[in-house]
Amino acid sequence: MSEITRYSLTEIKTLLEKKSLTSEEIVSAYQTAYENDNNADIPLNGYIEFFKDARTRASAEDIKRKNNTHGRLSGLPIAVKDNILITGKKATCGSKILEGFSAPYTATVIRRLEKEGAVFLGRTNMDEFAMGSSCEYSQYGPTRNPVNREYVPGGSSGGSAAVVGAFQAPAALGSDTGGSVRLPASFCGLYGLKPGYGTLSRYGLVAYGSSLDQIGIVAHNPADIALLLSVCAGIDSKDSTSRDFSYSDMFPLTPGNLKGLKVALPVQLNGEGNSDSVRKTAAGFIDWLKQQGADVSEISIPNLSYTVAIYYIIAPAEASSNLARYDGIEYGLRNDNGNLLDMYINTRSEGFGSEVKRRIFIGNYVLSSGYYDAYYKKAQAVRSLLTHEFDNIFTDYDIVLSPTSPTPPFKLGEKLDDPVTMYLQDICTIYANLVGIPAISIPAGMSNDNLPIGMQLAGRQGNENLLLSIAQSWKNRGGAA
Amino acid sequence: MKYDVIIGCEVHVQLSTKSKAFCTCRNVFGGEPNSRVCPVCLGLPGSLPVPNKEHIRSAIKAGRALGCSIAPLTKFDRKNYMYPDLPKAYQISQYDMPICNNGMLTVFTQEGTRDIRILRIHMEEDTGKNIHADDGSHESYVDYNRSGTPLLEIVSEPDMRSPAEAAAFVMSIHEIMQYLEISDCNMEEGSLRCDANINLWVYEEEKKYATPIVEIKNMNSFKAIQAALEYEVQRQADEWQNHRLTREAAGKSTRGWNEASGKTILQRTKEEEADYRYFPEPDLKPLSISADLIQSIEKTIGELPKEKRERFMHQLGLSETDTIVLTTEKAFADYFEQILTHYPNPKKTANWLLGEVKKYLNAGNISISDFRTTPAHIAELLLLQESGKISGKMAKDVFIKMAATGKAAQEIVSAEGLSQISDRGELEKIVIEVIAANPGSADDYRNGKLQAIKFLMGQVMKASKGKANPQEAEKLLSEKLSS
Amino acid sequence: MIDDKTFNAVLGLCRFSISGTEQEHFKNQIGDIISYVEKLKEIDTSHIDPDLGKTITVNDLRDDAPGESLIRTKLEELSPHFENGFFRVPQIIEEMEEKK
Repeated sequence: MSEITRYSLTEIKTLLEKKSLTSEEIVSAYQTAYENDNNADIPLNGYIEFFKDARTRASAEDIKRKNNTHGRLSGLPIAVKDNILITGKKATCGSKILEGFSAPYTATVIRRLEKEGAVFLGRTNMDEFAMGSSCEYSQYGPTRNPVNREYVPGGSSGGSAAVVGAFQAPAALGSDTGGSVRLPASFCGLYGLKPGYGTLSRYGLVAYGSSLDQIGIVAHNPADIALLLSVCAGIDSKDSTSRDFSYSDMFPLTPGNLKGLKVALPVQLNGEGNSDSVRKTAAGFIDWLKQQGADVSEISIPNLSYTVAIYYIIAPAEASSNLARYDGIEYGLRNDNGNLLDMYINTRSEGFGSEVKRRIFIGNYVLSSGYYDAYYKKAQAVRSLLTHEFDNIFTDYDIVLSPTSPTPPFKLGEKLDDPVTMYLQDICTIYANLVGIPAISIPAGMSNDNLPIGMQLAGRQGNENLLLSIAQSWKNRGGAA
Repeated sequence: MKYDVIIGCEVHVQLSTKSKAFCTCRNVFGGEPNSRVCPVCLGLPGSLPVPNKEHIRSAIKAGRALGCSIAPLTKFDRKNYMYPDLPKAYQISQYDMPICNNGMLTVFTQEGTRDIRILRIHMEEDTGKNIHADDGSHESYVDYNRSGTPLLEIVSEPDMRSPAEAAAFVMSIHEIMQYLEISDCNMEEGSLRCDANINLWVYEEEKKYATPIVEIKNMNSFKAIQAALEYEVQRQADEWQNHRLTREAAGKSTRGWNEASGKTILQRTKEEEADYRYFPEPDLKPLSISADLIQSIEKTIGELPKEKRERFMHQLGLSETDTIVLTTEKAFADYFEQILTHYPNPKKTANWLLGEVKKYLNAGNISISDFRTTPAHIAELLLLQESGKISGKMAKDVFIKMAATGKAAQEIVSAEGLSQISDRGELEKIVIEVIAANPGSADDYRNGKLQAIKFLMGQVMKASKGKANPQEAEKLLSEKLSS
Repeated sequence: MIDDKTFNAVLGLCRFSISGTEQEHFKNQIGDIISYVEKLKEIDTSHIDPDLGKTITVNDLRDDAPGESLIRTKLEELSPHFENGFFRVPQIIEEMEEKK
């Protein structure tokens, strides 16, 4: 494996600025790493497509740098989850139903990165339409955990985390609806940020659960995330739910001073339900926080026990509506034997995988007449309760701490056919999406089987900087990664 | 059989904003198929709606004009159903928190006036259009140009008691929308569409029975509304006598008006009612509407048809018939009033507009907004006539030329040497010559056959090549003959 | 557990089919998920109106100014069924037309 691929995004930035390396050299190294791995016995399968034009783009950025017309991210390589649109590139969301679909427009986040000269390496694998916690529900086969390929990388942004973990990219964009960036980051031993709702524009991110979806970033260190966030964040006239908030001064990132930091430790996410190695890691992390002068207190948030139930009503409801447009008429798969109704049914039966079908079904069920009040309306009411509870918690505390996952990574196939068990994988992460606050997963330790374990910090809306600076302090101290 | 007719209407109004409801595609009628589409109105993956300020402003304007209260907090919802002309497979609409509530509209028919309560007005987006191949190819074609056009849906309470009242209600809505200048209101292009719910209350032996409610769709003109509902009243009355089905027993069904056959045709029954799975649109935040905004929009509501009519009749002294014709189209009423600023004679102006101008416009199927002749030019023409510079007949000829060329009245009069001879000296010369040339007729007149003056007048007009001022000429003639 | 009538009605809304052999398994999984989410019934929400979240005002919305639309070639690239300016679909059957 080439040494070049070991650099973090910010290290690459420095090397490019010093002209010690060219972007073309870097991108070639990643391409070689990807191609070599793809020929291995058990390929990682992190990319659905490595872009053929990535090297050409890198060369173009090298020329811009020579001519001093380059942007802030000139020549920096980034992998992109296959549900974020780039004009002219395919976008499948890991689904057969989007077979043949090429994006006719570019996502706002991509456009902002492109403008500053970022080079996109390829499209990363994912659970179909971001529905899954293991990256096994993909039309393109499962992605494997770079730390141990018998294990899952976590989902749904498993491809994004895996390619960063396997040094096939220095950083990647993912999307996080219930933990889909943080869980893979945790399973692959990386930093993964889900910004607050509205921090990154959703325009051009293929919708799953619109009130929960947020583009996130996976990288080897918090500074890399801060760099990308400082470029991508901010209000977008094409996304009515985007927030007017500037992150431009976020980079360079300064490590946080943890003295007096008020940390809440909800008992619901830090108890018996977690595996021994996770609890041990958590204890270690809490000790470190205390050593830094943080004030850690256990609190009880009873409604945290209901987040998975709320989520599996609201997300499928929104998904059933968002995914109803895949009918074969304008783009993607079309099976048009028969009349129009036949076309709908044949196309969708063939195009959607089993997990997507389950969620569309649940969504239609909870919205259908006679069930709406008992499920959808109820879930929204409990979500409101939870949101108010968190408003109160954040008047007393700066950070809410828990593991990212109750267990270390599990093996491929282990939970594949047991939806509820799979759903419970996200028990620690979902609340941040329901409430709309930023949360980060930090690599904090290893299990007995030598698999990564992550800790999750969640903060107030707009406090991504605090989360990243605490993470940077941990990183500087020499954490697990 | 004794019964009351119960009708409620849902009117869809397409708004004439510059851009669509949730994207920046241009909002105009027709054009090359799929030439005004973008990721948002095509419902492409990853696209998001962004509401148009003008959609909300128009809704508030319509709501206030119809006496509705404006909700301080409103939101959009998704109405889910799959159909080729609906690219997202849901329509962004409003479900339980519409922007306008509880208005009132008074309608006038030959049977009298009636207050029709407006239940609500909500905002939504239009669908695309399906075109069905008629070549037996078993294929249809979809054009999304109309997709995302901003709509208002105005829903009345079931307060209308006859098909004529329903037609009058829709006509009145049509008129108000064009007075507010928020819609083209072109029914042929579908910019105003109406569905109606209708049933009967049958009275038998001191008992009242409600017949099943039927929703009638596909009524594309005022005439169709009345005809469809009249047909439906008769059908429901017959149905009652044959089957005695009540609303409780049968529920609601949907029927479509078939213009060609003059019948309504069953489309679906209650069991087939679609389940739209409404839920709040997560891509859009709820909207709060301030009292200041409502006030500022109220100020832009000009005079409404009813107020204008009262003013025309009471202040301008116009007849009811003239007033109604003048005010049906706002642009026409505006044209009328612009003439009055130059030529303040309402009655004469009305006569002209409703006579010559209307005749010309109707013959050429020209709308007043496309009319080349300006109100100032018409005023000038009327002044020329009134001052005696041209005769009434000349004015009509000059008008035709004005309308065809867009030129001013004076320009045509001068260029063609059309001005009337009103000069006494000049007229006297002609009159004397005519009397001298026709001694027989002159004698007849002097001998009491007053009719003879008509012949002499004709000769005067002939001699003057039609330019003699008729009133002046006749006066002179009788003077000369009597002296 | 979800009854057959409801199951079929909801499946109709989904516009996909589940083959006969898979149906029982699918139904069981759906049943598991529904029983799980029913734990929300433990919470009393009778006093709660679902929060609509942060509101915006008309000033936050888009000005009514037209912009660019997609060019024809983009639509042609989107679908092989884009013909003569239209998206071609199988004939819209009566039954669906009426249910609209």
